[in-house]
Amino acid sequence: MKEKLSVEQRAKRILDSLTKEELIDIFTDAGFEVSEGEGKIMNFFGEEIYDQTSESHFSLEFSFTNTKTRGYSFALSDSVENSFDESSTFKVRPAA
Amino acid sequence: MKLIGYHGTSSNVAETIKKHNFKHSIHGWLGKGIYFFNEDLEMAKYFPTRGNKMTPENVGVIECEIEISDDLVLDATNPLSEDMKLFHVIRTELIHNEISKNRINAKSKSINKEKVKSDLDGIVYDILCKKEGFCLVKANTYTYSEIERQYEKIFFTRVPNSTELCLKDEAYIINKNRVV
Repeated sequence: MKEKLSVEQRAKRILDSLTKEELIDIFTDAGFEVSEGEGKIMNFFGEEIYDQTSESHFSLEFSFTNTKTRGYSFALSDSVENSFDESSTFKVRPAA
Repeated sequence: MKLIGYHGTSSNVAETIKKHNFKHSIHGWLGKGIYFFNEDLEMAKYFPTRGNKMTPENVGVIECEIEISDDLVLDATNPLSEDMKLFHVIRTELIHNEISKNRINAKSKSINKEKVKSDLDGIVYDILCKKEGFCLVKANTYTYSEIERQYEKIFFTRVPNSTELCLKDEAYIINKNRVV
């Protein structure tokens, strides 16, 4: 007869018993190249999918220029710039 | 519980299995083990012919009667079960926290995102079987038809067309016959 534990208790027991070697084997078997590092998951091209070390992935800083002609531009930091593609849209309004 | 499973393969391999033992798959979306279609002879006959791997005349099917205690079955056909809630907790923790906690980087070796997803599922099943003592995984699955393969699987579906069994230990097979 199996002892009756909650899902959370069972999960904790499994994860606590999981060694680093087992974890490396798991991700190797799942088709990943595993190395010592900062805790990053990367795609085939070496691009980071998600930064596990950071609570907020990025922040945005907009700066607007040329408001007199109602044309707008904004600058993004390098890390943010790489996070958007041509499908990303932004709604901006000129300063009053 | 008692289950009937059909394992489709080539005629030659079916003959070997009948006389000797099964060879366990080392990969698969239900993990390592012996794969069967549950009570579905037709799907077992069709499976080996996918991708023109072999003609229907060269197919062999082994029927197995499996007897196993209910608490050794990881039943993925019920997503509300405690066991399947555990599956998703472990899967999420592996991806989200364990990589970070153990300070390792994981870079995908495959350009094919679907393959990576399915392999991770199989591995999570293996962890649950190893750590919680399950000996059989039962899950509803979808096997692509030849027509869909010709369309390069662009018509994705989540609707299952069979139930598969992945048996981790041959000792639970109480009867084995070649039926095709």
